[in-house]
Amino acid sequence: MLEFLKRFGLGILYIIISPFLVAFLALWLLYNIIIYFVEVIRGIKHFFKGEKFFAPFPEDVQAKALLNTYTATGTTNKEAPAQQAAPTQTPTPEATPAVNPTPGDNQHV
Amino acid sequence: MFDSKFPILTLSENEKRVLITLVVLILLVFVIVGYIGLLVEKTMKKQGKRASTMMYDVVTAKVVTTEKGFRRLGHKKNNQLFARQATPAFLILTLAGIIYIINGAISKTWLFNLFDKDTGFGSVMWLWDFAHVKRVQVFGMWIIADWPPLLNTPHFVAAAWASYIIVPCLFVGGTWLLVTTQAHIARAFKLKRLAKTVFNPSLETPEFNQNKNDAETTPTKGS
Repeated sequence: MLEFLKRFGLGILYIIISPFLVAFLALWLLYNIIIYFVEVIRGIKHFFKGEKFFAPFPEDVQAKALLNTYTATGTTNKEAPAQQAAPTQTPTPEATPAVNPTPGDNQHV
Repeated sequence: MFDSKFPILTLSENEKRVLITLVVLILLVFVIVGYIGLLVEKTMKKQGKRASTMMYDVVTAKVVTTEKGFRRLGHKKNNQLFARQATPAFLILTLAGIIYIINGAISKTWLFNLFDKDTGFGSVMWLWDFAHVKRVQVFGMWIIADWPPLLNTPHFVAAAWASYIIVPCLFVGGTWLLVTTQAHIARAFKLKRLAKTVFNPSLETPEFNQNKNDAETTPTKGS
């Protein structure tokens, strides 16, 4: 029943915002038509250079070469930047301050 | 006097049935639109996953190491993927255009109704005459009261050969182009989200959720 009411509410919302959605889609479609012709012109340039029509990007070629090297040499440096930038290091005992003061610490008072 | 103050109470049985039917229909329409929206949402989520796949190699090989570089390359790859996926649609639409030009050159008619029942695609469709259908007035609105008369049954017309090709091509090509545009939009939004999360580590990620981690690592009695 809750799902039915939720869908009913969302249906009303979609009908209200549908003109804006249609306008957004129409504008993006126009933008995409322009993109398509730009990519076709780029593809024709690649074709006359002897490459594939939709040639891979230099970054893709470099990545593939690097990953093949990693696979060939057996190194597994495949950690994502998010994982590397947020290391899960546990603090060393020297860095951790003592929780319970040892007897004699407060003698100077 | 009572009737004039509360006109709703003077409804006939027929009018009450029509009112209930209208309310149920309106409810159904809203619910169906809600479920169509859900379908579009799920489709776009699935289409957006391709953005993650296409950027995986360049990120794991550390070829792209900044958010700006990720956005720029993601945008270029998204555009290229769209062009690749939309090429069949453009070819189909180009075919429709070529047939239109050939038909125009042969018949010297450049402006015509593609769905005309005598010289267009309407000749192969069942068409009903809604202009001359029996209607009744309910709550000031004229509502259809009977099945409309049949105006046309499917039959082939030689003069409409161009519309038999153009209309299906427009329908298929147009739908294909819309779906690929939807996919392009889905990937663009996904790339925008990924650019923020992949290169901007945060303590609010699940890896640093201390309550969850403590619950998982703290041994319980009897374990």
